[in-house]
Parts: sequence; structure tokens; C-alpha cells
Amino acid sequence: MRRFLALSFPAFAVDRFRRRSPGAPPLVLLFTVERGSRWIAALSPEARRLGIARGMSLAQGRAIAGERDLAIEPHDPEADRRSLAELGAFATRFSPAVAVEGDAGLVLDVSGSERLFGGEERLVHLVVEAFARKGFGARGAVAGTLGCAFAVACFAPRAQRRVALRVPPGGEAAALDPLPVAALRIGTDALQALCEVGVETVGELRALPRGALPARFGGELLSRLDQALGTAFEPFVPLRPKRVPRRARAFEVPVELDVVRHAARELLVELTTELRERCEGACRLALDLECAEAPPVREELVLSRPSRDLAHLASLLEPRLERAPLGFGVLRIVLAAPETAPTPERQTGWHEPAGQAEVAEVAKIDRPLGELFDSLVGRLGRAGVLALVPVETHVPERAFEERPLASVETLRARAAITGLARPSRLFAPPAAIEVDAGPAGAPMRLVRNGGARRVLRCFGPERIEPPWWDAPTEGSRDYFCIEDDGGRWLWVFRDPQARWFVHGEWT
Amino acid sequence: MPEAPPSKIVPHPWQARGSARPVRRVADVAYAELAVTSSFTFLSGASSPEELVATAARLGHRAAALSDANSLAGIVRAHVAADEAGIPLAVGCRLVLDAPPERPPGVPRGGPGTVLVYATDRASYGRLCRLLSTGKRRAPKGECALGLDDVLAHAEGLLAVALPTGTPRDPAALDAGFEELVTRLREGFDGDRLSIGASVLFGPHDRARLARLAALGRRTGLPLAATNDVHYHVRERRALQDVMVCIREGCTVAEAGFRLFPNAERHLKAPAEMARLFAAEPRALARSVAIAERAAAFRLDELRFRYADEVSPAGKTPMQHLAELTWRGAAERYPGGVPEKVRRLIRHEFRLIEELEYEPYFLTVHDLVRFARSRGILCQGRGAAANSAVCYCLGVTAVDPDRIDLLFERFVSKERDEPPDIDIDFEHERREEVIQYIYAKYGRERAALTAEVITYRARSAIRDVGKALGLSLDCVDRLAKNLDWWHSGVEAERLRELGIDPEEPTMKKLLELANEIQGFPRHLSQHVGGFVITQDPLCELVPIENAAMEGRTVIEWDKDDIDALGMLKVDVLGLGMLTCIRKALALVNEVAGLPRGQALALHTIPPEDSAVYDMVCAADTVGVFQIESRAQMSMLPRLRPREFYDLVIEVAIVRPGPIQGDMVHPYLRRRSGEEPVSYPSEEVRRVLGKTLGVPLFQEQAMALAVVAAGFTPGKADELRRAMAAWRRKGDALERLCQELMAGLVANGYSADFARRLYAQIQGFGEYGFPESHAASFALLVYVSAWLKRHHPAAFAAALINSQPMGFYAPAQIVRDAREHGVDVRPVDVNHSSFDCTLELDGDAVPAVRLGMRLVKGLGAADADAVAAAVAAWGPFTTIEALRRRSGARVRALRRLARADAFASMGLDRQAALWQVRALRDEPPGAPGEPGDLWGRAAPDEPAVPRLPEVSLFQRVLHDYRATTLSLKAHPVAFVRAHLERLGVTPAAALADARAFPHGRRASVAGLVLVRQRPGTAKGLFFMTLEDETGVANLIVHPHVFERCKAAARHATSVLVHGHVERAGEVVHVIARELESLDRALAGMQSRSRDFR
Repeated sequence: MRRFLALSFPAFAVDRFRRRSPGAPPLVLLFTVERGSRWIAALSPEARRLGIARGMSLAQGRAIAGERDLAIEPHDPEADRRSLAELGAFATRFSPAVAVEGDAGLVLDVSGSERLFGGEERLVHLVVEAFARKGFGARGAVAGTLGCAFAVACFAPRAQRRVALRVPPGGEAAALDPLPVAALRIGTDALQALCEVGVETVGELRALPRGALPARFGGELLSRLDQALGTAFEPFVPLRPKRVPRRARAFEVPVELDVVRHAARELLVELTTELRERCEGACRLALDLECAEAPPVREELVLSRPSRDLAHLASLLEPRLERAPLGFGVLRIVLAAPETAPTPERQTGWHEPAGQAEVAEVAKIDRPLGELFDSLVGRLGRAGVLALVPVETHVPERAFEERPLASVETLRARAAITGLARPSRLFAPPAAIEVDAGPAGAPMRLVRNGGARRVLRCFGPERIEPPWWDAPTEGSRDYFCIEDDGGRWLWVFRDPQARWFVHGEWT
Repeated sequence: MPEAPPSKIVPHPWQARGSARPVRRVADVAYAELAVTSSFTFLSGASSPEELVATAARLGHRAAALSDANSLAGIVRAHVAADEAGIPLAVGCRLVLDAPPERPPGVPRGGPGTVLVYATDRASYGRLCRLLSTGKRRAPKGECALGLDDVLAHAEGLLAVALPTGTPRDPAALDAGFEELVTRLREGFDGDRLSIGASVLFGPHDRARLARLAALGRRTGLPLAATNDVHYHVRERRALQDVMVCIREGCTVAEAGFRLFPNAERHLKAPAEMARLFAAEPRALARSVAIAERAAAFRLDELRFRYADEVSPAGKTPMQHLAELTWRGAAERYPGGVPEKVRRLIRHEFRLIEELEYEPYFLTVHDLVRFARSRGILCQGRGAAANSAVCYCLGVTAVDPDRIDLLFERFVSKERDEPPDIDIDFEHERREEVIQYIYAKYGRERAALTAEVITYRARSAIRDVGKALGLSLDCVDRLAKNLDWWHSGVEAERLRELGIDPEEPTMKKLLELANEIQGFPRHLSQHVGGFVITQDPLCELVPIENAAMEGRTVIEWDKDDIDALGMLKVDVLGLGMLTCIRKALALVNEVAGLPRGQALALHTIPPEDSAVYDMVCAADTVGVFQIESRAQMSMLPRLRPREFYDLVIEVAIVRPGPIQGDMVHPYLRRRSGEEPVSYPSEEVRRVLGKTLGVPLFQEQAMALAVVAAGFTPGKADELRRAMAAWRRKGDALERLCQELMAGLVANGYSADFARRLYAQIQGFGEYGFPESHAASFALLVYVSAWLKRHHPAAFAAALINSQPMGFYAPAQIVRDAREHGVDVRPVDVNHSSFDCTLELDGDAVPAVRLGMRLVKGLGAADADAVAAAVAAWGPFTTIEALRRRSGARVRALRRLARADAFASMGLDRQAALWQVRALRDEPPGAPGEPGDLWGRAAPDEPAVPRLPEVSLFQRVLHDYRATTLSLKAHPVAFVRAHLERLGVTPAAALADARAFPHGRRASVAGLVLVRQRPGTAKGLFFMTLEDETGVANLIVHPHVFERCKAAARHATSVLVHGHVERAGEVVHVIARELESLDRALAGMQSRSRDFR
């Protein structure tokens, strides 16, 4: 006889939010954006008590909350689903077979295992408490069918919620009858149709002629009802956690670096083979070494792009190995790829269709660039590798930014090409100089570092006005490119106070 | 273009005003700016045409010019401003040739490029308009698809300046395409009319670029013309221009990068400065001047506007035709003979009409009215036209000149010589027929709607500028929604309350820029119904573009623009009450079974019925035109209208204008005899006598200005215009009012009287009514009140059938009808049509049968199919039979079942839904084909099983959900016991003055019918509640509103504690505390409420 423990998390999204931001106020509203406005998708019970409800506009919710502190965040159902799967993995400590049910529910097959925990009631308490400790409010129930257990967990009347809910074998019908039809996990259309004819509870539904139901409320209704009652079979699909590619070698005696290096190479070959079979590349590699009479060593490699290239990975791994403190030798070596991403094998033929040639070209540059990047990061650390990124602005000294090179993609991001005459070197800050200007305002002679120079040629002015929104005190600058009699090309400007500066030089 | 036949030149009316033109100083260096982008290149130019023209004049330019991108939308404003400044104006535009990638069929090829073009005479201006119309008509609204070939085809007489583009990699170099563009342009423009535009804008390569352009000029034999690519009139507008670009591009200033100009040089510059910049090419300045001066030879007021004149039959002059129609109409209007007063008026009007050649206009309007009548569409002129006896005889207006004193000069005046403006209301549901008739009769080339310039208002300004400055959406929302902080004087404090630091630089910038951008055009929209109809092609007068709405075309000019050019416009407007009246009359006639000749019609409704006035005095006016609002209803018992003119006053007095001008209370006191009526002089008595010394109408303000302040009639009319356009041109009204006060005091009136009059005229700025307009509306007030009094069933049915309109929802209309003893019957498939109908089963009083139009989500087609099947096959006994016979879709039947519309089959809502749920649509074939039905009864439907009981309350709520009303009971009745425990009074009990005297505490509860926060009420918030006994009116003070905002703003039902305020028969509850009842009501909805 099978027994199922169903768990329902009535405020799953909000609980998840609370776990992320522990200091958040008790009023929590999560919203979705639909038809151009924001609607409340989930809310905390405290907010519900004020009269805020799901499906209200966010503005209305705000108005009801008034001056009270509110936490407002977008609702992320995708993250919720991922998080629920993680909770499912956690629940495997109570039963090996755990399935996700709906958006906020888990079902455990506890046939036989309840004895390990001292009976079904106690098991429900244990599970609910375990989740409460993790910050998730759950309601649980045990019954002979998945459907019935879930229905009772979700919809048991408030008065019964304090006691652990257990439907005795064969008691499914009696347990279901007083519950609302929504407990049967049926679509909104069927629910609405039932509501319209005044059928609110499962008991009322069961009183209707069975034969008349499918034509009116869809086939799903009967099968859901029968599944909950145990007269129809319901498949139970347990979660299977994703396996991390992982290879290990143990040595009987502590071994030296040479052997370790060789073993690591072998493990890498096996790992990349597995990755190829899975059509994946590693995003991270983790190497664990168990050392004799020395603390264990963990080396982690973060790759700029998913890779299963043996030579490349080996070239990254080996320097790490060489630097690792191995103590009196290594007893065990474990290599794993904790994070992977799909990288489909691409067939490259002699003929590339026109549109793809460019893609291939980019890929051709990308790979060596990515490998260079990985090696640089491997040696210098992530903060040690910077990129110069062009910025769209008229202000010369802001036209480039140094940014940590997070991935190869940053390198490819280019601002529009300006086509402006800009010197190859900018002085920061611009150096004050003295200038004798001609009648039209163009420089004729300049004194720089104590030496006077005549201006042979001069182009300009190019007038650049500072951004008014964040530099209100600066004035406009008139730039000239000049050639002095020493043969240097300088970029000089005059500010509104007629002070002169040299800002750059063509070298 | 064919030789234009001689016609009247309509001189520019604004010209007459400034008789003394300012003496214009011209700079020593000759220069005229040609490339001028104004704010009518939307979100690109940051100065208005007026600012640009005035600045050009101030700087001493030889001429001003306007060249907006593919548009002449700002040209009339520039023209008016140029006349005021006394500077010649070059009329032109910037053609952006950039045919869209997916070229619609028929768009000729041609590369991209930008060319400035200017008209030199009427013919070339016509070609320019036609060119723009062509481009706009084949592009979606707001866009223009033009190719070079289009330009060449319309090139004759135009002057062109080709504007160079740079290559993105090397801006100093010229795009290869530019030389090609210049070469191709040579095909259409001789060397005399084509130039190359050059500008020096402090870029990195100015000198090199200028040299290359000069070289190109030498190669092609074309001179350079200097321009400065102006986007604003002074350099201080740079920030605003940047912000506008960001709004257009949907980015913030920090992200905008190269989309912004690097400096602030694109402003109008002094000629000497331009000469310095073009020191290398001094002749370029002279060329610009030459172009501008040649273009300025064409003046916009040369445009001749001719009314369409095919309205008179062959062989008759328009005047003869008009006279014939008028006298024929007069004979119909006055079956007992035309009164002498009216004869005199008509003859007087004829003289003016003939002299001013307005006959075709009157005939055009008559033609529209005739068309509408022929289709059975009710219509009625409103506004100034109601001052004309001719219009009355033509059937355009309905105010009997024999009953009301008319002032024809208010409508047409020789001295003003401005085209009369006729506004006609048509039934709102059928206005489109009239619009399409106009398009069909005159063609798209000769008739189009006027534009409406949508400008930045406070809220949109804050929103857009805030976003461009990169403020968070949340912050922008908060600022935009709580705008009362602005202009209220206590800005800083209010802003701090909203959690915003007003001293913060970004906020300061925001306020500054948002202030600046207000009033700037954002886009063109269509005027509600203003049509321009011309004899000559309209598209040669002004560019025509597509409207957003299918099947509409719109000119680029708005109402003020066409006024300024003296163009005629007919306003084709929609009015819901006309629809309602037509439907009510039809129902009355149908039930009475009157023959056509004796049928009740608009003009046969008996006048001055005292029973109607009794009803109006009692404020029993739900559904009556204009006087059904809460404000009007509370005024009626005080004003106690007893005759038609009282209704005219009632309509005019409860308006924001008179309320703000403090005219209401003096009038009421004088009417009730509490205050003596006195006049400062005999002249004033003549003007204000009929309104007891209180100026209520625009005409009176004008007349007072003439008789008491010594204004000329022309100046008085200027005052009227200023009143109407107060929002846009506040300063003009201010100036005139000052003059008015000075005039009054000079003529010996007390300063106090002058001040009061001044305040009252300022009040008119907000929607003051002209008397003729109020009279037209009052007529509809009387008609609708008469219908409500004598045919309440027909009136209620017609009101519901004309929804959406008016103040009240069907639930209140039904409730009001039932209170008047009308039997209202529920929607039923075997009895209802789509519309509400009257049922007469032997009774003297007809009952209203609600129509299927009340069933939410039910289409007219399905409803009609059901009604037709019932009519053909008699009442049905099963749903399946109805489905087969009618072919109605199951979806529709389900909606009918939700509305509980199968009662006549013995099926309640649940049972009907149970049955309908089992039905399926037949695959497309012949619906209702008798086939197996032939001779056989419909197959037995299995009996409905016993379904769970549903409470009455539930059923009422389902009624509300499916039809927005319930005839079974009122939802509040079900929580009455609970409410009684809370000490809540039924709304009807408040009427008892002994139980609830002024100041007594009271609590009421009900569904919220109306929420209002009029701008005139100092932040007071009004609510109307309805419970099962009646309605209660609430007043919520701002501090209470703030405290109970959630309930006040959002709840569908509320419970209010407060105290009673009585003023005569008017009872209000002043709220102290509001709470939402929604949860109490919702809690009862479900038996299984302990779940979840």
C-alpha cells in the first residue's frame, strides 16, 4: 500500500524573498507586469490581513498599505521553480522519492519509510519543522493517494491545520468531500464552470451524475477526481538530481608531483570525454587534492566560456598544480566540473553559407582570445585583467573606461566609431600653459615647462561643452590642434576664463 | 496650376490688431538664417516658431525663415509672429528624403538626403504642399515617405538648399552620395534656384569641410549658402534640446552620447558673428539673404480660401438658393406665419451674408444637416450659430429667435470679418456616417479634419523630462501623480513630504526644464470634428496627413492656425443625448402606434410644461441632459427653474467659470429676493437685466466691455477670444482685463465693481458659456426632461440603449425608472432584443424589457440571431433548439446563461449553465438547417440534476457580474443586519430632517457610484453611495481623504462615519472616517469561505 506525504507552501515566493533579504519589513508585495501595469502576484500574509489581495494593481496595494513599510519586488516564477527543485532535493532526507507538485508543492512517497520516523503524524511534524527552520512555511498531510494528500495539505479547513493531517487508508472520500473543488487540481475553466452551477465542494461534485460530467467540465475533472479517490492510477515522477561530472584517483601511498600531474591529465581526459558525450563544456573546474600531513588543497578555475578543450584546460590546470603546497605527497585527487553549459558540436565544412561566414570568423577570433584571457586570468587574477572600453560621450577624458574584463563579450562591445580627431595620448589632468592668442583667438605662441614655442600650424576651434546634467560648474572648451616649432603636435584648449591647457599629444 | 478664378481674399484677422508695426532695425551685415528647426519638428527643435522669428528680428536678420522637417505645421504661427515683428518670412521646410526600407508600392526611388526648400509664390507653395501631402498620405501617421524623384516632380518655382552629410568615419569628408544628390537636384533646379548649404558649428574639421564644400560648389557651379542649422533661438536652450532628443530616443541624458550635439552653437546668431565664421566664404551670407528675400516674396496671407460652392443647383446664385431654402424652412418652422421680428432678423442676416459672401458656407452646413435628416440622424447646431435666424430656419439650430434675443453679430460680424464657426452635434453613434459623407462628397483632396496640437502639460512634462534625466520610474511616478505640489507655492515642503529633496541639483533641473517644456507641441492629433472644406484642392493649401484612425485624413494646422488664415471650418461633433432622444422618440412612437404624420418629434414636444419644471425643481433628474450631475442636482432646488430661460441659466451657471468667478451665490440670493438687484448704471441694466445683474454669459462680458469700459466691438471680440484661449495665451487676457478695469474706472464705475467684473471674466477663462450655446443645450435639457416626465419607460430604455453616455450606469437608470413606477423586466432570450424594448401587455404604462446589450461580452450579432430566431419560430423551450435555430455560438449562449436569461424556459442560472455546458458549436455549415428537426421535436435534453442551493445574495452578485445590475435585490441589503449593529443608517432615512438635523452624526454604507474631485472645489472629494434604499452624497475633506485613501480611492463599497449637512433640501454627509466594505461583501460570497 502506497502512502504519500504532500507539502504545500502557501507563501512560497514570499518566503523565498524573505530568505534573500532577512531585514525586509513584514509587508511584502511581489508583482508582475502585464498590459503595461504592475499587478500583485504574491504577498505576505501580513499584507493580506490589511486587505491587499493577489491580482490587485500594485498602486492599489500601495494605497492600502499607506505609510507602512513595504518591500516591493518583481515576481520571478522561474527562480521559484528552481528553488522548489532544490527544496525537493533537500526533502530526499525523508524519502528517496520526491516529486514537485504544481508551483508550490512537493510530494514524498513515504510508503514504508514512515516507520523510520515514528509514524506518519510524527513524520509530517518533522518535515514541516525542517522546512520551517529553512524559512519556508509548509502544511503537510499524508494520504493513500497523491491527489488526496495534496488536497488536504492545501485546503484543510483552518481549524484543523494545527494537528498533523493524516487520512487513514480508505478514508480518502470522506476527507475530500468537504473540501472545495479547487483541491482537485483542475484547470481554471472547469473550476469556473463548476462555480457557475453552484458546485463548490468535492462532495457536491460527487453527488452529480458521473456520466454528465466530462461533456460539461472536460475529461480532466473525472480523472483528477478518480486519482484523488484512488480509483485511477496517477504517475509519480520523482526528481533526479543532475550529476556533476567528476573523476577521482586514490593512491596507496603519497605520490609526488610527477604522478599527480600524470593522474590529473588522465582525469582531464576522462572528464572531457564525458563532457563531449553530454555535449557540454565546463564553466568551472574544481581540483581537490588530499595531501599527507598537510591541509587539503582546492584549486578552482573559472572559464571565460564553456570549454572541453583538453589542451586548453590542461594548460590552465598545470601551473596551478605546480604551485600547490602538496606536503608529503598526495593521497587522493578529485577533478570535477561543478558548472557546465551546453556547447553543441558544430560541424565546419569547406563551404560556409554567406551569412555564417562572419559568425565563423568571430568564433575563430573568439576562441584563442578566450584562451588567452583564461590564461591571463589564471596567472594575474581576475582583477588584474582590464579592458579599455570606448564610451559614447563628447568629453574627451571620459571617452574610454577601464573595466575589469569579465568575459570576452566585453571586448567585442564597441561604442560607435567617432571619427573625431583625438590625440593618441591624453594628459590627466590637462596641464596649464601660457598662450599668446591671435586676434581670432587662435594660439600663436605658447610657453610650456618654461620653454616658449612658436605655433607653426593650428586647426580649430572645436568647441566641446561639458554635460550640463552633472558638471554644472565647468564651462565650454575650445580645442585647437597645433604644431609647434619643435615639431610636436599638441592638443590645447582654452576655457571660458581664457586660461589655456594642453590636454594631449599626437606621438 | 490653373488660373485661380477671382475670389475674395480673406485678410488676416490678427493683422488688424497691431496697427503700429515696430520699427525694425537691420544689422549692417546682411544675413538671414535659412535652416530653422522649430518645436514643430517634434522633439527636435527646442524653441517655438514665435521665439525664433522674434529673435531673428531682434538680431537684425534681413528675413526670418522656418524649415521644419517634412512639415509646415508651425508656419502659420511663424507668419503671425513675423507680421507682428515686421520681418519678412521665408516659408519652407526641410525635406528629409529617406524613403523607408520597405518601400510602399508607388514610391519612386531616390537616395537619402536632406534639402531645404522655400516657396517663392502661390503656385510653388501649392506644389510644396502637394509634395508633402503625397509623402504623408503614403506613410503612416506622423511620417513622410519622399524620394528625390518626388522633389524633382514638384520642383518648379521652389528654391532649394542641399544640406551635406558627412561619412561616419570621417566627418570632414563629404559623403559620396551628396555629390550625387546635388547633381540629381540640378535636373529639377537651375543654378539660380539651387545652393549648397554650409555651416560652421565648431566641429573638429570646420575649415577643411568648408573648403571641400566650396570646391564642390566650384565643380558644380553652385554657390554656397550659409546656415547655422538652428535648433533653438538662444544658446540657453541647449539643455532643453538635449532632453527632447532623449525623450525622442527613449534614453537618458547620460546614455545619449553622440545623439546629442557636442556644443550649444545651433542657435540664431548675430549677422556679424556669422560673417566672422564665414570669413573664408563671405559670399555665402549674401546667398542666404538672396534666397530668403526671394522666398519672402510669397506671403502666407496670399492664400485664397474659397468655400466649396457646388451646393447650389445650376442656374441659381448661391444667394438665391439660400434665400429660397431659408424662407421655405421659415414657413415650416412657423406654420402660423413667420413673425415680423424673425422676418426682420432674416433680412438683416441676408444682407451681411451676401456682403461677406458666406452663402456657400451656409449651404454647405445645410447640406450636412439635410444629409443627416435623410438618414434619420438627429442633429442640432450649438455655439454661436444659434444666434442666427437663418440657421434656425435652415434647421441647423433649434433656438427659436422669436423666444430668445439673438445677437447675430456674435456669429457673423462685418467688422471682425472672420469666418463664422458652426458647430453641429450629431448622434454620437452615427457621427462617422456624416464624416464619411463629407469625405465622399468633397474628396480627400478637398476636405480634411483640422489638427489638434498636443502639447506638454505639467504631468507629461514631469514624466518625460524626469525619465530623460534618469530619475527612477518610481520617483517620476510619484511626482507626476501628486502634481498638486506644483505651482501651489509650497513646493519645497510638499516635495519633502514625498521624500524628495527639492534642493538636489537634478530636481532643480527637472523643475526648470519641465517648466520650460510645457506648452511645447509633442505631436499632432485630430480635432474632435473640425472639418475644412475647400473649392480648390486643399492639399495645395496645407499638407494633409493620415490620422491614426482608419479612414481619416487631417491637415497640419490647428484651429488657431486656420482662424488666423481666415479658413472656414464646420465642427461635426458627437452628442450622446441626441442618440438617446432619437431612440426614445422612436420607442414612444412605436408603442403609441402613431402614424408617421402625427408621430412625436423633437420639434413637436410641447413647450413650457409645468409638470416638467416641477420634476426639475425637485432635482429628480437622473439621466436628464446636463442637469443630472451631483453639482447640478444640488443647485436645482435652489434655483427652482420655472421657464425655459431658467434652464438656460441653470446650464450656464453650474460651470467652473461662473463658480470660480463667484457668480453663483449673488445670483441665487438675488433670485430668492435676499439681496436687492441694483445696477451701477442704466447701460449696465440693459446688458445684465435678464441675469439679475450678474454677468453669466460671454456675450454679456463683451457687451459690458463696450458700454461700460468704452471698448470698441473689435476689442470686445478680442476679449472674447482671449477668454476662450485663456489656457494657451493667459497673458493676452491679463492685459485686456487690465485695460478693461482702467476703462471702467475712467467711466466712473466703482473700483469694487470693476474688480468683481474682472474676477468674473477671469472665471470665464475656464469654460465660460456663450448664451446661444447654453440656449441650444437648454433645449435638449427640456426635451430630455419632458421625455423622462411623460415617458419614463421609453426614456430609461433609450438611455440604456445609448450607453456609454452621461453620468449614470444602467443600474442607476433602472433603479430610477423603477422608483418612477416603471416595471423593468429581466433579460430573457424569449423576450429581449439586443436593445432594451418596451412591452405593452394591455397596460396603459409600458414596461421596460432589458436588452441583451446588458449581457457582458455578448456581441450584437449573436443577440440579433437569437432575437430573430425567437421572432421567426416563437418562444423556445430548450436551449438546444434555440442554438440550432438561431445559429448562436455556444460562447454567446453561455454568457446569456450567466446573465440568467433563460427563465422563460424554466431554467434558473445554474440549470441553464448546466445545460449550456453540454452544448457544442456545430462545425461550420448551415446553422439552423432543419434537417433532422423537420417535423420532429428537439431531442430530449436530459433532466437537470439537483444542483446545490445558491443563496439569493450569491445570485444577486452573479447578476451584477454578468449584467452590471440586478433586479432581484441590492447587495447591501444582505449585510444590513451587520450594518445595523454598527449603527449604519439606510440612505433614504437621511432625508428625514427631524431624525437627522444639520450637524447630527450619521453613518451610511453602500456601493460607490461616483467619485469626483472637481478642480473648483478646493481639494474636496465627492462620492455618491447607493444602498438598497437610495443614494447618499458624501463630501470628503482632503485630510480625511489622505487618511482613508485606500477606501476613498479604490473600494467598490464603503462604510462612512460622519455628520449630516443640510442646505435646504440638499443633504450631504461630511465624512470623518471611511472604510472599505469590500471584504465584508466578498466574505459572504462563498459558503466555503473558511478555506484558503
